[in-house]
Order: sequence, then structure tokens, then C-alpha cells
Amino acid sequence: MFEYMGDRLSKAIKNIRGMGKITEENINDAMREIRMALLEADVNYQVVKEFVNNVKEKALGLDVGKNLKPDELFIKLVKDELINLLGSEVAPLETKKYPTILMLVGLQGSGKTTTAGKLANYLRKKESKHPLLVACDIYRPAAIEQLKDIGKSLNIPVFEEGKKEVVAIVKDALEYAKENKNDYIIIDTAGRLHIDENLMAELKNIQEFAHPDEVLLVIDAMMGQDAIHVIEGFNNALHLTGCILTKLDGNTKGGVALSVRHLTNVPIKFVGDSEKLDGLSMFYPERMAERILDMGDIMGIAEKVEDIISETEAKDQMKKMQSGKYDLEDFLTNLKQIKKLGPLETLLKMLPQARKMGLNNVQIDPKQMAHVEAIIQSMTPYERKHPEILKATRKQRIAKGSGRSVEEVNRLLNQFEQMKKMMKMMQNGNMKMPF
Amino acid sequence: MGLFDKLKKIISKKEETTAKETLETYDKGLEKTRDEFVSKLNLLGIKYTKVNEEYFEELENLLIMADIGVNTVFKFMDAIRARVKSESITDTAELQEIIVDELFILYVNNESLSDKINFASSGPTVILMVGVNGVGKTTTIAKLAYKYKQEGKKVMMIAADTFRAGAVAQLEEWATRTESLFYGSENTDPSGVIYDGLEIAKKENVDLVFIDTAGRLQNKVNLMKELEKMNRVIGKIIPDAPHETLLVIDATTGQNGIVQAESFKEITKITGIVLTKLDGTAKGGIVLAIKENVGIPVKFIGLGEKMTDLKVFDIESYIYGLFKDMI
Ligand SMILES: Nc1nc2c(ncn2[C@@H]2O[C@H](COP(=O)(O)OP(=O)(O)OP(=O)(O)O)[C@@H](O)[C@H]2O)c(=O)[nH]1
Ligand SMILES: Nc1nc2c(ncn2[C@@H]2O[C@H](COP(=O)(O)OP(=O)(O)O)[C@@H](O)[C@H]2O)c(=O)[nH]1
Ligand SMILES: [Mg+2]
Ligand SMILES: [Mg+2]
Repeated sequence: MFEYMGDRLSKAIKNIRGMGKITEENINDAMREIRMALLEADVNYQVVKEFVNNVKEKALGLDVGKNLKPDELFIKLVKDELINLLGSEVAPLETKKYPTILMLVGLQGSGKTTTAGKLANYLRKKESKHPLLVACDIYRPAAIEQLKDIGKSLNIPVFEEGKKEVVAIVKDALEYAKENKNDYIIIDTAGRLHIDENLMAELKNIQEFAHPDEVLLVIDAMMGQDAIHVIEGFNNALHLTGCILTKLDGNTKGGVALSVRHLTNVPIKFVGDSEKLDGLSMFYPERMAERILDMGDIMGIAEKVEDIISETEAKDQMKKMQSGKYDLEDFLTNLKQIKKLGPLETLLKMLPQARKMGLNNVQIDPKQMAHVEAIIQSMTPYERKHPEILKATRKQRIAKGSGRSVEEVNRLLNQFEQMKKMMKMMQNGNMKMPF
Repeated sequence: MGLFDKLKKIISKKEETTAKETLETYDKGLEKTRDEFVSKLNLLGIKYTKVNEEYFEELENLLIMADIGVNTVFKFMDAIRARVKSESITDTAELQEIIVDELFILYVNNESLSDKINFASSGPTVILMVGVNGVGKTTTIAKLAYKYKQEGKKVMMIAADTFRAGAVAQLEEWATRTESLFYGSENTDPSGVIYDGLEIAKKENVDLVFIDTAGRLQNKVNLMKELEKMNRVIGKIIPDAPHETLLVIDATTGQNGIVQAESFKEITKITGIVLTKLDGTAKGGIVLAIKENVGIPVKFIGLGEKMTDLKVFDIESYIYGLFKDMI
């Protein structure tokens, strides 16, 4: 299991391997590395301290049976404790009330407006709702235009009355929703500092008037140690029902998730992982724990792939790969599927130990992939199934047709052969990935 | 003369020579930082009169809470511990001076602190604004435009954030408010917009051109490549441009701020950092972390959402604001 850990941490944990039991001495290094890892992930200092003490205590009490590896036991403990802190139960969004009212709040630039669009999109798709977006950012230049643009691109109605007093806007919006049978009302508010009393009072006024069922704090996953003050500030004023962590598509570890849960007990309901309006995912504590510990996100990849390839399709392909019948036609299909998965870099980064293998900074040129596609597309279907018939003249034709060079055609064919060999190896029970 | 004395001298000189108003703004903007950090440091000195392990632990806590990079803090603590040992310090009051001393060394370390904007010798000066999503790029352009308009420059804004909804309209409104020229068009290639915009800037004999770009996370290869392309286009139309590439960083950012600075520096020649939202955060520690790790100077700081809420970053005033109560 520790193969999946961040570099330093896995080294420290190796020391525990082969020990008959866990002692204060042999986990000292590991504890220090865990502390560093958590602090570097922006986990609140106080939480780190408690966590480290807690894990240490539990680790010393671990019963290392004869057949168990103490290092694995130890890392499982660390992970489980992290998951515990992150909250193991799922916190669903209120959807039953008619209409349900939801308000988004947070600091400037944290992602409220974008998230409003994402939520509307999600609720329509997954819950068959008819959402209404309400523009209550009356301060930032073009904030209303931004929400209107988002509504337009989603084809979801946006209620706005320019820069009117916000409670009045909300009042009119509720009436509008009633007339138009909108069953879910999402209120976008202006960004504000938790210490800005006037603006915090404005939010309280909306709350007192509309009694929103959900008051969600939108918070940037890159936030540092100040996060706890922000979370507490908003929570004390508004009694948050949940929190949404944005910009997780970045390479921040997102330790702020721990601060939210552990210090305020506000559940994290969603995470934002793209600038696009479908970039909203459920929050999975286990994945977050793995991210913080740099353990990769195998589950995340699996889910992304599942969205695009059906299970039977995947099984068929696996069979084909293992029987050696995988041809360039299949390869082309796969290429297209991979493209749908979004930027490959993001996917690679989700692999465990991506950093160790240097994959976190891998650059994949989408042009290169387009070239490969062009080359295969310039082949006849027969050629794709039987690449062995490709000799000089055919290669020249393909090169010309795809606008690439013959060398590139050759390189692709060679790489494809190697890939097929690797697939055969997998069939022999040798399931090691090529890296 | 020890650095601490130097610092004291700088500060007393500062009080005489710097316009009172500047100091007051710093003072107010950094009030949070100072309250948090300095008063806690002072409390620590009251709580522990003798230097011991608990004292060290609480000190480390304080520094980490200020978002000073984790590695920087650990290095810093090692330095402090070493000095305590070699100089046989037992008194926390004495140590307090050393702490300020070491922090100062950390930031100023042999640097000529230049916060000047690099103006073109002739023709338009081009300033490119970059950074991750939502940090304050567009607002900072408005603030800078306002500042240089006041100084009598002819200013133009180019809206090359063609991605985010409403981004062009946002910049356009700021152009209107600051009475700057504006060029932008939605749903086009950002490099195309820059190309056309800079041609106009040349024709109109503009002094200063600000280019607003879309927020990009530093790990997105395609978006970072796009930035390279923009740079090429800019250089093609105005050789030597951009004259400044300012990386905007949100002061509430944690450890990722260092990664941001490193990654953007790899792709483009970052000439300075603008640290925004210092009005809200109780920390300013990221400044120290970035300086130590990446070596890019902070040129401006943002202290609010209005176009007047910008200050030229002045290390001495900053340190004054940070440590005034202690000295
Ligand atoms: N990469 C990424 N960018 C995001 C995400 N969510 C929002 N953004 C971007 O973050 C920036 C700020 O988002 P907004 O939705 O305007 O944030 P806001 O909180 O409404 O901002 P203000 O209204 O200005 O306070 C924009 O550039 C968004 O495109 C996310 O999950 N990932
Ligand atoms: N409190 C505060 N808010 C700021 C500051 N600078 C920008 N903002 C706000 O942060 C949000 C994002 O700013 P914007 O300029 O749109 O960021 P961009 O996405 O990087 O262009 C807006 O709501 C701004 O009003 C600052 O110095 N202090
Ligand atoms: Mg907004
Ligand atoms: Mg912008």
C-alpha cells in the first residue's frame, strides 16, 4: 500500500517495515514526515498537532499480529484517521422542499458565480429540477453579466434587477419563481470579507427574509492558514449548511478541507474541479485523504473512465487486448475516448505516485495526439486491422494524406507494436503497468 | 551596527520622511497582520520569560499560522535555535529582537529592492497581467490604470480574457470608470485580441497598455502554452514588450503560492508580484515564502476592491507596519 505514498513519506514508513512491533522510536521519522506533509498541504496547525498526537497514541497501541506488516498497518491507520476527520458520512443537498432555496457565500474570487452555474446544471441533470439563478452581486463590475452569460450558455433562467437592494431582488425573484414554476432557487452573492460587518449584515438580511434551506460557503482549495478564520467568520454569522471546495483541478493539496470539517463540523458537499460548468463532483473523504497524503486518486480515474466507457465495452476491449487482436481501429477508438476524458495531464496526475514518477509535470501536446489520429485516419479500414501490410508506397500515401512525414508513420507503427507486446504481457498475469 | 539597530533607524527615519498618509495606509492595511503576529509574539514573551522547548513550539506555531512557507519556517527555526545556543540566550526579550532581525535578513537579504515599473524608452509600455483564477488580475489593472492616469499617462486596456463569462464587460467597465482606452472582443483567440489591440495602441500613441488575461492554474499545460504564444505575439508587434509581466497572487493563498510563483516564472519572465487582498487576511507571510523560494520582488499590494486601494510595495513601510509595536 505504501507504494502509493508521497516520496518522503513512503521512505520514512519503510523504516517501520520488518519491525516486530511499533515503538515510539521506529515511528518517529514517519510522524515527522506526516506532520510536514500535512503542514505543506495547508492543514490547520492546530489540527495537525492533534492529529499527530492521536495517530501516535493509536499506533503504539496497535497489535502487530504475526502475519501483518506493521508499515501497512500504520499507514492504514493514518489514512483512516484522516478520513475520519474529513467526515465519513455523505451530506446530501436539500432537494425535497418546494421550492428549495440555496444561497452561495464566500470571499472575493472564490468561485461562487461559476459554482452557481454548475449547481443549476447539476440539479437539472441529476434531480430533474427547474432552477432559477438569482443575481445578487450588485457591487463587482459586470458580475450580473457574468451570471447572465452563464445562464445563457446553460439555457437556465437568470433573475436580475440590476443594482437594486438585494433583499428586494430576492423578494421579486421568489415571486417570479412561483409564477414560472422554478422549484430550485440559487442565489449568487457578491464576494466579501468575513470581517466586513456591513456586507455580512447584508447576507443576514437575505437569510432572515428568505430562510434559505442551504447556505453554502464557497472556498478556494488553495487557501492557507487563514481559512479557519474565514470559515468560522461565515459560520458564526450565517450557520452554514455546507461548504464547496473549488479549484481542486489545481495542484494544491487542499488541506483546508480538514480545517472545515474538524474545526467547524460543516460538511463539504461538493468540489469544483474545472472552470467549465460540468466541473462539479461529489466530495469523497477517502480521495481527499489520499490527495493530502499524495497517494493518488485511482477511484477518481475509474469514475471518469466509467462516465465515458460502458462496462461491457471496457470488458470487450480488455479481452481484445489480451488476445492480441487489438488493432489500429481499436486504438483509434480509444484515442477518441481518451480525448473525451479531458486533458491527459489531469488524468496522469491522479495516478498514485505521479509525482515520484515525474508525471505531475508531464506535458502532453494535444497536437501530437491529433497527428496520431490523422495518421490512422488516413489508413483504410483494412490497413488499420492489418498494419503488417503497410509497405513503403502505402506509408507514403498515408503520410501525404495526413500531412505528416513517413518517419512519423513509422514511429507510430513501432510504438503500436510495442504497446501490443505490453498488452500480451498483461495477459500473462504480469499486470505491472509500463511505468 | 546590528540589523536590528539598522531597522530601528530605518523606521525612525521613515517616520520623519515618508508622507504620513502612506504610513497610515500601511498601518491600517496591515493592522490585521500586525495584530495577529506581533501581539502574539509579544504575548509569547510575557508568557515565557525563559527560552525553552514550549516557547520554541509556540513560536513555530505562530510562523506557520502566518503562512510563511513550511520549509522556510523550519529553516528559520533552526537558525534561531542555533543562535540561542551559540549566544547562550536565555531571556525571551532578548530573543525577540533576534527574531525580528532574522526575519528582516530573510526578506531583505542582499537585495536591491527595486519596485519601479520598467518603462519603454519610446512607444507604448506593455504590462501583462497573469495569475491563477480569481486572484484579482482585472481589478489590479483598474487600480494601476487609475494610478498612472493620475500621473498624466495615456492608458489603454486590452481584454485578452476571452474565456470567463462577463470578463470582457468587467474590464470595459473599469476602462470607463478610469477613463482609459479599451479594446476587446468576446469569444476570440486571446492572441488575436492582443495583436489587434497593440496595433491600435501604437497608432493612438498610448503610454501604457495593460493586458488582462484569463486566470490559469499553473498545472494546466495548454493554458501555460497559450501564455507563451501571447508573449510571442506581443514581442512581434512591440519589440522588448512586455516590459513588465506581473504575477498576481492572493494573499490568502497557502503553500500553493510558492508553486504558482515557480511555475509562472518558468514560462514567462515574471518581473514582479502583486499581492492582493491584504485587507482581509491576517497573514502576509506568503511574501516571505515567495521571496525566499523564488526571489521575485513584490511591486504592489492590493488593499481593497476600489480602484484607489493599491499601494506601491515598499519593504520598509511594510516592515514598519509589521513590527512597529515591537520596536
Ligand atoms: N480551475 C478552476 N477555476 C474555477 C473553479 N471555480 C471557479 N473558477 C474560476 O475562478 C474565478 C473566479 O470565479 P467566480 O465564479 O467569478 O468567483 P466569485 O466567487 O463569484 O467571484 P466574485 O464574484 O468576484 O467574488 C473564475 O476565473 C472562474 O472561472 C474551479 O473549480 N476550477
Ligand atoms: N478585498 C479585496 N478584494 C479584491 C482585491 N483585489 C480584487 N478583489 C476582488 O476579488 C475578486 C476577483 O477579482 P478579479 O479582478 O475579477 O480577479 P481575476 O479573476 O484575477 O481577474 C473581485 O470580487 C474583486 O473585487 C483586494 O485587494 N482586496
Ligand atoms: Mg461572483
Ligand atoms: Mg479577470
